[in-house]
Amino acid sequence: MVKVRATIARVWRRPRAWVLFYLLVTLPATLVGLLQAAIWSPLLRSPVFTQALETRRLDFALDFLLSAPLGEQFGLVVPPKGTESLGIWLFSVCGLLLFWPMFGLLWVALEGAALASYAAPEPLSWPQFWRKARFWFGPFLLFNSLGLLVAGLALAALLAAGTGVAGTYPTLGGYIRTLGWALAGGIGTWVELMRAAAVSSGIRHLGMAARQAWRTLNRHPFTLAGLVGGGLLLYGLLAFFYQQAMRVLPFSWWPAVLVVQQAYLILRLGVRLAREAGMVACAQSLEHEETPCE
Amino acid sequence: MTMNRSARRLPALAAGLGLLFLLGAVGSLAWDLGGFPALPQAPALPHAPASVPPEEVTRYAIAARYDPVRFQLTGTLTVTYRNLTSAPIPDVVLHLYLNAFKNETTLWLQEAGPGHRGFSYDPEHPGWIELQQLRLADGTPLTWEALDADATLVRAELPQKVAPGDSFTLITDFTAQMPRVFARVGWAQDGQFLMAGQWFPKPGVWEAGAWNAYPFHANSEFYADFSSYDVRLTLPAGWQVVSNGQEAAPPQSQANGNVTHSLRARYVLDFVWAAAPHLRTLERVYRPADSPAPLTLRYAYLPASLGTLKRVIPAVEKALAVYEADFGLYSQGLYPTLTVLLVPADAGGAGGMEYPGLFTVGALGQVPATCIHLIEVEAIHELAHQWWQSVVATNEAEEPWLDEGFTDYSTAHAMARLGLDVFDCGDWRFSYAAMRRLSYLMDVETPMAGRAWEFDPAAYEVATYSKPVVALASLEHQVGAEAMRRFLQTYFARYAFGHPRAAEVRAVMAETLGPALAEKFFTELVEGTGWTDAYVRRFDQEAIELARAGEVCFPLTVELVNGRRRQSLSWGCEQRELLITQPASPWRTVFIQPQNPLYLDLSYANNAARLGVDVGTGLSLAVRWIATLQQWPFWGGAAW
Repeated sequence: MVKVRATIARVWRRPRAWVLFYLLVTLPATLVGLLQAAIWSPLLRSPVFTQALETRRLDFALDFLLSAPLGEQFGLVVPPKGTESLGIWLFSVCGLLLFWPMFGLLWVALEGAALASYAAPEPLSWPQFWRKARFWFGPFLLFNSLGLLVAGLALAALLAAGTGVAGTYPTLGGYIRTLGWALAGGIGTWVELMRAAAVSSGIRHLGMAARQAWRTLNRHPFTLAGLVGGGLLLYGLLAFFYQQAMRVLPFSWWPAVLVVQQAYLILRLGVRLAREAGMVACAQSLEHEETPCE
Repeated sequence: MTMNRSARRLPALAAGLGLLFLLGAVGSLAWDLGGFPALPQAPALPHAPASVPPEEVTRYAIAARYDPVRFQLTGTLTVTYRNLTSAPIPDVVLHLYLNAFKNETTLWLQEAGPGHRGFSYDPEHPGWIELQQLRLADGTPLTWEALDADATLVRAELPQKVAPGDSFTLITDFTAQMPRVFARVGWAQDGQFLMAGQWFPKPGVWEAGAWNAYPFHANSEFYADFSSYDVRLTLPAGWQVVSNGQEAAPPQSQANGNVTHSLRARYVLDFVWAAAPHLRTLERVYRPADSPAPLTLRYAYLPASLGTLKRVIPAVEKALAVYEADFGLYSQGLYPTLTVLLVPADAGGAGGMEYPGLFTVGALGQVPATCIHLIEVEAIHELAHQWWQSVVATNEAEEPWLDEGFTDYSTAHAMARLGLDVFDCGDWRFSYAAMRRLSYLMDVETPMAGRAWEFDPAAYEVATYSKPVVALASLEHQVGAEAMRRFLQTYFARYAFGHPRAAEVRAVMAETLGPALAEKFFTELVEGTGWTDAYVRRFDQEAIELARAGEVCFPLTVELVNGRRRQSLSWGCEQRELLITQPASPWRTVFIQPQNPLYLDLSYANNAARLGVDVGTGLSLAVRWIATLQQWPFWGGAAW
């Protein structure tokens, strides 16, 4: 247990990965978000637009959108006139679609470096960090893609089955759909363990990484269950407080909303990294039998 | 810890998890199979039951047999018609509604187009009805002639006029071919489900010296006298039947294996039934038998509709309490049951239909997401018909807005009282009244008054459903909820088991809400093409100009805002325009009716204006949007 705690402590003692992940999600999101906000800014002349956002009443929103003079004036329902603004409009819309896979790839690249930095006895230098990122990018992309495919298929099958029975047995249908999400989450967690096992043992081969992950699970089922369960519990608590705060905060209190949202995102990211660091500790204990992870 | 112990632990953990999942599935199934919501505490009788039952004009005795292979009903109908008017009756006019579905060229199908409420007509499985013979009770044969090309209406001369106060009895043998479910009636489930509505020859209504009866039109529904029915239905063994009546005698097995069901209904406008081998019923006592107005709720459904049923039960029972408190006692205490029939998915054409003492749910064909409350809307709407049309029996053919309009307003009223929105997903809400307003905006100049067939389908939707909802809701906006309740309670109490016309509604409105308001409501909105749009015409550093377009006017409130400084003004109908001079420190925002906008108002978008851009809202929006984008990699890059 001492080993797990010590490794988890590296998440904030070696905050480089945490900061990089946060910057990775924040900088492009801010760029795209501000671009979109600039395009929306003319809408802010209309109090009904604000009313719709504050009350969440669709009739206000629809009246606003359907109002022809407003549509022409603000260019919301059609791209604004003029090539320049049309370009910005298209860029911001397409940007959303383009950025998403790019985020995913950068995320995968950072993941290997992050796990390696938690596994290392001493903090990695920047060159070592980037070398690890390059080294693990290929295998992790394969692990994640396969995991995504299997999880997607399992989820689709159980969602379809759940929807099929929901007409007659709504609770059972809902249960099957929930099971689908749980299974997809379970597969995702398994891939996570594979990544941790791979980095701990230096194995890049898919089958061998899977075998190493299985050995880790076999050796430390309760510690891993504690990590996953504890992570879920923390997520649940975070999400609960976040939802409550967002419900209570008036729409116009943007500084408070900003603080709450960013704190939530940073903590959520930290919980995820802590869980992965714990998995690394468990997987490393297979290599060093003298220092059990629990 | 040794490897062996660990290796034993994992299978045990997996088995434990598996058992947990299995227990979850069994628990979910058990919850589905039982677990109906508790019956809400029925409120103390909000109104006294009727002391005198209404006079019944017609008495029906029908014996019919259903052949599920040919989808045919054959039977004999005996109907006694009492002349309660002061004019003698020279002839009889009968509705043969099923003939509207005998082929694709009928008036009904020409008007409706290829489908009805999204369900298409199957020309391979049409519906029709034939009279084999028509005679008086003494055996005198009568000849009949079709009054329209499709024979949805037939007329027979009587040998002698029936004097006021007298009655005559007709006997006819008939064959009714049931169509594949379409427009409220027919078979589904490969013949294993039958919805029998409009299935027997039915006299029109004798009033003002003539028969009030029209050929069956696509938009039109029904108009009939209050009657009693004694019905004997012979069905295959094992078929279960529900109707808007009560069981008059235990089912009797026949020598050929069929079973005859004896049913009786009193003080009803129509008799309707449904049957299927796997039909289940769930009975819930709303008010016990020893109550002055006993009421049992009977839910009939096929096993596949269990999910829908779980959503319908609370909607019906909560809305029932609202309607009884705000309008009057269900059927004034005369019907001991209320049957809610959930039609199967392939019989959606029979869903969403009302009869006295029974209504159907299932017009959507499938169960929408739990945050979309269209099933609840359907159930609450059809339930409201128990007040408007089933008991306050207006003429659905000549004045359709009176039943559908009051019913749909009642639906919006109940939905609001129950805190139910049509759409309530992800914090965004859309009320039923707002949904109706959106439909109203498609055709604001359609008068509500008019015969059903005088409207095209789109205008019919606006005139009979949407416009009455926004008009009555706007009326309530002006007079208040209590005055509106007084109007509706008076209307229901006075015309229960009667046939009021728009003139009677207008008189009750004048009596309870004032003559001027009734005059305005009927002239501008019911009969007229009136509309209204309040808007900000000018808003700058010097002045604020507000104006109204359209001839309809309701008093409004205006709110002026500058930071924390606020001021409210009343804008009455005596001023078509309102001019406000800006003070030294000018108002930054102006709202017309900000909290509770008038449903009749054509646009909310022009009800407010602001000096400059709302930077705070912009930042609030940007901050939220950025946070949403930040979470995208979590969705794709990691499972959780």
